[in-house]
Amino acid sequence: MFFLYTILIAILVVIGFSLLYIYKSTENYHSVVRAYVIIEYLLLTYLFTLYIRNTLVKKAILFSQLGFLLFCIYDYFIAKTPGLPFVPASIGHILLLIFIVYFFFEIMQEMVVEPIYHKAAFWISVAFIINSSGNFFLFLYSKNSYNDEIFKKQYTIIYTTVTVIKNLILCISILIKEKQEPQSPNQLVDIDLDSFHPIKNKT
Amino acid sequence: MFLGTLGMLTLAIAIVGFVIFHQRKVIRYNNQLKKLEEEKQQILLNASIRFQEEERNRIAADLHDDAGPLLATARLYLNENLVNQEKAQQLQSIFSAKQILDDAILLIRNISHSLMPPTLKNFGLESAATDLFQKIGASGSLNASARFHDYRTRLKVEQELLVFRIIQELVNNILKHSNPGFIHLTQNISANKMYFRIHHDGTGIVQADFEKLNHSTLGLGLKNIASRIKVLNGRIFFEIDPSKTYYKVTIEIPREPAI
Repeated sequence: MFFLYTILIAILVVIGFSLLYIYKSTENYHSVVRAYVIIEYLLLTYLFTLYIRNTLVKKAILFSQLGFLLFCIYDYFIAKTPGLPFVPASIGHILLLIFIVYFFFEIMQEMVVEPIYHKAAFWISVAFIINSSGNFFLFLYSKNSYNDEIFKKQYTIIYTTVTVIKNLILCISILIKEKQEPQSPNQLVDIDLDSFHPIKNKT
Repeated sequence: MFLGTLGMLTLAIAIVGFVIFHQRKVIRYNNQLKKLEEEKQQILLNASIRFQEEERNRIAADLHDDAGPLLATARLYLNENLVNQEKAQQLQSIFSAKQILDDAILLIRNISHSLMPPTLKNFGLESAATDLFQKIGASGSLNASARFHDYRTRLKVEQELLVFRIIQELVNNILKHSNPGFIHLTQNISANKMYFRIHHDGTGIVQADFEKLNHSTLGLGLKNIASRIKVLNGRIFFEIDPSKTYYKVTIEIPREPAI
């Protein structure tokens, strides 16, 4: 799943930058970025539905995917001038942050077999919690200040730093070799051992 | 914006740090539990060795105090002077020696039976357990019975002996400490597991008490049960019925049919 995410994102990044720098088509670049935001959110949240065990939260994630998709389409149509989807990206990041924090909460409830940092899921979560928290305010501010040149420089510095950190942490997640978790012991099965019970026989 | 981003990043790192810190704490706690479990195993092992030694001492005492004097007395009757004695006296001596030897044979048979009950060896666990409960019931002081729902396939002999010893120990404990009005044994199978359950209406213990006694230096009998259960690769559960009228002890063991 994670590899599917990386491949799709890589393809979108290549297409996006080709459109921006080779074909100089800003409008199409913005459309690709919108698609990127949607696909990133859908794939990442789907990845977390595989990690999270609570079915209610899983359902909430699936509903959030639908809601997010609808919101992105709505945002695309209401945008007066076509631009980068900063509001959907911010919302996507905050939702993702919530799900990652819930995932950590679930981890803390579980019986510890081995440290969490021996699992790829943890490093993926750390990468995206840093990415989402680092970029959240950036995208919020970008909605109004993106055209400012000084802001753009700051944006580039923060965005690049956070992305590099995220990618480095994702590299760790790929290098992690996970051990198989031992099976938990079965509970005592419900078997007829009381049928000969004198009290029950009397009643 | 810088401050907001920095704040969010700090918060994210704090959350990650907290998760790792919490996990390390839990791992430390689990390691402590593991250590305690190892200590418990050591106590069980010691108890098992002590029990074996006690059993050997008992057999040695039985042989030394009972069989030894009997055989020595028989030897006295059959000394060298016997040939010089009168025929009537000879006959009397031989008869007495024969009686003493019969007693010695009976004694040795009893010792042997206490090591391996013949009913268990010849007819299996079902017969041995039913026999045990019939004997207890025959005393008239309490109602005791055993029912095996499905014991068409016998367990391995070693397994049967271990299960029988566990049942014996449990029954002994119940009779000794619980003052029950009834005691019943049931057996059943499910998939690849076999279950034995003892019900009694005396004073009993629950799982927490069992675990506690297992970790303490008291309760040698319970430690023997625990070590036998471990050898059987099984589990044991001490429960009280929701109606609080009787106690249940359930033994779960994997089925290893005798070939």
